[in-house]
Order: sequence, then C-alpha cells, then structure tokens
Amino acid sequence: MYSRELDGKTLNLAPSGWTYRQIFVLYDRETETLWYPFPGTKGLTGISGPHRDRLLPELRSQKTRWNKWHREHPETRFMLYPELLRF
Amino acid sequence: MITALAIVLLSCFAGFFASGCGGGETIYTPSTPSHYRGDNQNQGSEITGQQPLGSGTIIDRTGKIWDVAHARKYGLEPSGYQYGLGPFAIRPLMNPEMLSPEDPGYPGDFATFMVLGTTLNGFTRAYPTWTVLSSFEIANEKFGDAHVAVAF
Repeated sequence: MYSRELDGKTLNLAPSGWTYRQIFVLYDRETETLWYPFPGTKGLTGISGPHRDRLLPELRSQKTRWNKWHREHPETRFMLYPELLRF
Repeated sequence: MITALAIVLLSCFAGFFASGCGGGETIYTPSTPSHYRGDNQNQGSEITGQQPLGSGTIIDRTGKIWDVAHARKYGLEPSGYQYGLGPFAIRPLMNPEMLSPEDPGYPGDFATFMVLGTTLNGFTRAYPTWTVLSSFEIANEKFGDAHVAVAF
C-alpha cells in the first residue's frame, strides 16, 4: 500500500503492461512516470519520466487472513467484489 | 507484493493480444494506433517494423513507446522488460465500493481468505488479495484526505 500524493498532487496509478524480474512496473496516468517497487525500499521508486528518482512511500498495512483481521478489527469495511467478479 | 502470481494473469492476457511473449524483446505490433506514433520526445523518426528502438527505448504491443533509459541507473536494462501489453490492458480499480458489517454480502468470521488490511485516517478497511492481485493489480483509493494505491 503506497501513498499516491506527490508535491501536493494526486496520481492515479495503473499497471504499465510491463513486468521486470516478474514484478509489475506501474505508471501514473498523469505524467506517465514508471514506478517500480524495489525490494528493500520503502515505497515505489520513479525509474523514468518526470518523477524519476522520486519515492511514493509505502504505508503501513498487514497481509493476513480475513477471520483474523476481522476479529481484531470488527468495524472494518470490506472491499466489495467488483461486478465482473461476482458469481 | 506485486509478484509472480501476476505473471500467470499476464500470460493469459498475452494470448489475446499477440502471438508469442516478449521475453526480453522489444516488439512492434503492426496495428500501432496512430495516436501513439511519435509521442515520445526522444524519437525523431518514424517507426517501421520490428526493430531495436535505440538506447533506452522500448515499444509495447500497442505501439506505445517508453523511454526507460533513466532506469538503467537502477540496474533495469531495456532488454529486461517483458510482456508489454500496453497501459490499458489491465485496468485498475478506482475507489472501489466498500461493505460495512451490517451490509449483505459482508464476509463471516469463518472466511479465511487473505486480505490486505489497513487503518489510516480513522478508516479501517480490508482488501481481498485475490481480487486486486488477480484481476486489477492495483486500486486507487482515498482514506479521507489521503490518496492511496492498494497493491502488493
């Protein structure tokens, strides 16, 4: 989970369609800067484009199982499956 | 993490777009949309057929040109980019709808699927990883005033 704010502006991130070392290369639709999650860095690094060498910082999150998360956060909201994925 | 499982998805998508996968290749697709031609400031000439595009430039299956020369600074060589499905092949989620505990369809305590959970700006949310990871790869979200990208 990453911030998508830079210099007071909001970026909309999307997959660029490229992968590198089996990791998705993201891009922002506003500037077409390419963003890459280098292991060991705490965020997405701009690797080319207007925001090259900038960092979109990683935010605290937890990858866990739903039942555990829900027990610890009974008030949590849950992302509705998008229409195309509903059975 | 945006990891190897995603590659499986990409492999599926690739079948829809062109023959063969671009393992380390730069690929030219003859049906290049005209609005992509020449949109790179570093390209001074027309692209004709499959060819290396010169130092630090790659072209995806839609014909879009990407200048990745600067990425060499980080050890990412142009020859290492793969698939090149184009920037609209996988659409991201935009402010996905959220369910509250009282809503129909809210998962019960018995469910054990993986989620990415976070609390930010007083909002606590969980994102099922298989949904975002397998189909959209990323969700653009807001937590109050904070704009966030949900990815792995």
